[in-house]
Amino acid sequence: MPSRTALFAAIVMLIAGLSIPNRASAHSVSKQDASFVQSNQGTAIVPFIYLGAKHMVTGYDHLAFLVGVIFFLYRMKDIVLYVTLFTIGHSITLLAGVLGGIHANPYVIDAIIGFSVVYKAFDNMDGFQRLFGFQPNTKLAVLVFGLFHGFGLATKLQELDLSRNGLVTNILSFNVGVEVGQVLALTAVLIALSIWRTRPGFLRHALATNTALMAAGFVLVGYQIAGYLNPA
Amino acid sequence: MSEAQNLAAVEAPSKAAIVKATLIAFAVALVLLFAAVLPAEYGIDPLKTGKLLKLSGISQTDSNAGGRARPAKTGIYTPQPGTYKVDTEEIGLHPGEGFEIKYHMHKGASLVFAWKADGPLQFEFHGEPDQKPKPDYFESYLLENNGGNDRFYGSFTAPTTGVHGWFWQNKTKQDVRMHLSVSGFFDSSKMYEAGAPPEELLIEDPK
Repeated sequence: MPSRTALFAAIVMLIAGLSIPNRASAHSVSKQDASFVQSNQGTAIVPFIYLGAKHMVTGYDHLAFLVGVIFFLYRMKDIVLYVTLFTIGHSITLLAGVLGGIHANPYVIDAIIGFSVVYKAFDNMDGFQRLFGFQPNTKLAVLVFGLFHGFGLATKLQELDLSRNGLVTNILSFNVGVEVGQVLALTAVLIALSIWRTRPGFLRHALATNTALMAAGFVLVGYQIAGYLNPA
Repeated sequence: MSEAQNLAAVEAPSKAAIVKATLIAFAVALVLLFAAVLPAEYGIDPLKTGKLLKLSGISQTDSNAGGRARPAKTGIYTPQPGTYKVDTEEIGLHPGEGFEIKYHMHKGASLVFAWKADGPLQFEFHGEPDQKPKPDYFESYLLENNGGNDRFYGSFTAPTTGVHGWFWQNKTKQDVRMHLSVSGFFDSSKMYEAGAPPEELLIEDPK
């Protein structure tokens, strides 16, 4: 039985991780990084891996969705399966978006990403089964929302004027970085969740937690819709 | 998945609880949005809570508070395309002579310039976009065709991708020497003399 202190430490770590981007430059690639990317000519593998990892670790919308996805996954096999589906999804659209020059409206994409958090929280409440009497395929949902998350990553990179020089290598490096960041973030979330699950209060508080997650998703949706309607 | 769902199903919430939870989540999100997020991020403040909580200042001090990297139009910092270059030229003009130097720059690129002469020179600060509607099209930024100036300093941001620079003319009866210093983000430089084809100036990247 882990001690109360360990649980507390894990929660503090999690909250700290989630709140850093608020104090820094929110969600997109920060200005300093932007000038690096813009002035960069040619291949820069490690810097782009770092930028990808940083974007994932500080991207609270991606993290919120992943928390929702693994909330009720207990077996490592399931976690690996779902995270792989998410990874396949976002890698496809990140690469296709940037390399194929597909431009999506970042506000619309980010609103859909916010909605993916709402969807997953509702799914975790067993809302589809109870309210509508059917269960949409959870694996397919993770894959499809993964596609939108990838478009979100692509729009962030497209806002920067990327040099054509070494573009493919740099995008692949960014993608590798995204996966590194995802593993780091997931590890922290999993530690916190597994400690919490050993406590009797987990299932009792599961509904409340998913309600909070859903509220966060709604805030993200509203934030992006407002941004879409009020381009500064 | 079965194990997980069985576990969840043991104490799965009731229909009413799910509806209630969803409505609570929606209501909480609405309150957060209108009371804090919109005032802080966009300066939209219908409930006047932004003013009350001093959140409105965030979006006013930093137009990029939304976090999206927009190209800064006017501001403290503007990222630059291309590489940094420095050029200095020393030019002598006999009475009546004209001379022209222009730098090829991308739209939005900036340079800082200063030129100084030992006599007054009439000049026109102007540019020619790469894509121009007519062959002799140009845009004038500043024309000094009265007494002339013996110095002109400033910074410049290219409004179009093309060549930008100065035409000088010595309208005095003495020789005038002029020294020009330019540093910034341009990729090449050309000089134009009456009756001669444009000549490419050799520019070295600064160390």
